[in-house]
Amino acid sequence: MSGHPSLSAGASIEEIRGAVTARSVSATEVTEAALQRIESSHQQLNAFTTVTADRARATAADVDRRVEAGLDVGPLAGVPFAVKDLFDLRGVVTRAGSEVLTDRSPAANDAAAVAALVAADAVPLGALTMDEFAFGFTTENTHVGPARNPHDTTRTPGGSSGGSAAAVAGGLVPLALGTDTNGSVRVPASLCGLFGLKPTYGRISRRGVQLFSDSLDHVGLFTRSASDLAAGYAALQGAGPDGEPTSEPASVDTEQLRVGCLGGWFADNAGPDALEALELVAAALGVTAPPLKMERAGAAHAAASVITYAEAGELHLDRIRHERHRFDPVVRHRLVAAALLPADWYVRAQRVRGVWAAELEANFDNFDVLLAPATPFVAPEIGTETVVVGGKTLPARPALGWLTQPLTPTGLPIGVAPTWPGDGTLPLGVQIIAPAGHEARIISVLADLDQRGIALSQSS
Amino acid sequence: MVLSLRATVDLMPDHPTEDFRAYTVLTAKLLGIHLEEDEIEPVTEQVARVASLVEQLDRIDDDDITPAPRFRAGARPDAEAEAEAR
Repeated sequence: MSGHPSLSAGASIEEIRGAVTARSVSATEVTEAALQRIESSHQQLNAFTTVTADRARATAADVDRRVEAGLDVGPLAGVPFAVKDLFDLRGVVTRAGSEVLTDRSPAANDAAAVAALVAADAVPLGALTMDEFAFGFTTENTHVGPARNPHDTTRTPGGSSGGSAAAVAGGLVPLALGTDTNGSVRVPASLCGLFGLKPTYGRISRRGVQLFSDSLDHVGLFTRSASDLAAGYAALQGAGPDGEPTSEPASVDTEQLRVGCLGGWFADNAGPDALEALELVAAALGVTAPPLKMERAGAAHAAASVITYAEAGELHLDRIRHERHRFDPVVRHRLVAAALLPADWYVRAQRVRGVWAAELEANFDNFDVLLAPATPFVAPEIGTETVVVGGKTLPARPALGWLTQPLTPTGLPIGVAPTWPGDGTLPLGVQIIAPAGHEARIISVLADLDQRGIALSQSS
Repeated sequence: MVLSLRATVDLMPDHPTEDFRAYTVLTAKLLGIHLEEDEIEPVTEQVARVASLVEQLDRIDDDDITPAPRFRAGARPDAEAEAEAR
C-alpha cells in the first residue's frame, strides 16, 4: 500500500477521495503519510506551527469506519488540509503568529471555514506559519522563524499565508486555507507556484478567524490544481445534511470570455518575469485589446495601505498599549504607528477606494475577466531588503504586494494561475479577476489553463 | 494640549520630520501609549511613511461614494411613517 499514488506528496484531492472511497487505501494511511511528510520537512520548510496529529487520526478513523460500513462520506473524504494560524481549530490556541496570543484559551470551536471542510470529511492536520498578525508579505516571523519556499529553501514563500503555501507546494497537504488582506493568498500562491483563490469579500465566512483589517480581510485557499481548487471552494460554500456542497460552482465556457489586461501601474511595477507570465496567459486566453490604463491604481495601493494600518491599529490598540514589547520586532513599530493615524487619512482612503472600485468594475462592461501579474518578481531570498527590477531599486518586502494590494479594496474575486517564466526554475502567478460573485468564471479559466499546461503547479 | 492637537490636524507629508515626531509623541500620549525613548524614532518613521502614501489620495467630495445611508431624491419618509415616528 505504501506505493499507492494517493499516498504520495503530489496526490490530488480527487485521487485521495477516490482511493479512500474505493477502499484501495484508508484515510488513516493517507493521514499517516501526510504526518510523516510534515515531520520530515519541518527543518526545511518550517510550514507548521501546530500539528493536530491526534485529532487527524481520530477524524481519519471515523471516515474509515463509515466507508467500511458503506455509509456516505463527504466530497473531501480523507483529504488532509491545514490552516493559517489565525483560523480557530478546536482545542488549539489560535496565535496569529504572535506570542501575545499564546496566553489565550484553546479555541472552543472550529472556525466556520474549518468546520465546512471537516463537514466535507477533510482531515485537519494543524496550523501554519504566518507573519505576525498577518502584517507582512514574506512570513519572516521572529518568534518561530521564517517559512521557506519549497522550490528553493533559501527563498521566501511569500506572505502572510506563507506557511499555507509552503505546505501545499511542498506536498505536505493538497489543500490549505489562508487569508488575503492585501495579497496574502495571491503573493504566496505566486511565489510558490500554486493555484490560489481569494473569493469575493464576504463570500466565505470569517467566523472564528483572527482579523487584521476588517474591511479588507478575505478567507482564501491554495491547491496544486484547478480541480482541487474547485473541490476545496465548493466545500467551503457549506455542507448540506448529506455532506454534499450546498452550491457548487458552475463551469463557464472560457472560449466565449472577453479577456483584458490591466496596464499602467500593473505594467510599470512589473519586472520582466511578471510581464512574461502575463503575456503567456494573455496569449493563451486570446487577449487582443490594449492594456487598460488604470490611472488610479497607485492611489488605490496607497488607500489599501492606509486602511490596513488604521484598521489594524484600532483592532490591536489595547495590546499596543500594554503588550507591544511581546510583538515581533518586525511588526511592532508599524502597529504602534497604525494606532496613531488621523481619521482624516482613513476617511480619505475609503473615499478613494469607493471611486477606484467603481472605475475598475466599469471595465466589466467590456470584459468578462481581467488579468494582471500577481507579484512584480519571483521569490527573493529570505532577508532581502531591495530588489532591482527593470532598472529600478524596489523595497523587496512591500513591493511584493504592489500588484495585489490595489485590487483588494474592491472586494472582487481573484484567482492565481501559476506560471514558470524565465528559465523556469521559479514560479510567478497571474491574477484572474472577475466581477463580484463570479468565482466560477475564475475557476473555469484556471481549469482551462491547467488542462492546456499554461498554468502548472510543481510539487517539490 | 488642545492647541497642540489642533496643529496636528493638518499634518501632511510636506511637513518636516519634527512635526511627525511631535505628532507621534502627542497622539501616543493621548491614546495611553507610553512610548519608550527608543521607540519614538522608528514609530515616527512609520507615521511619515504612511503620510507619504496619503499624498497620493485626492480629496474626493462625491455623494455617490459616501458610506452614509442614502435617501435619494423623493425618497423622504412618507407622512404615515412620519406620523408613526411621532
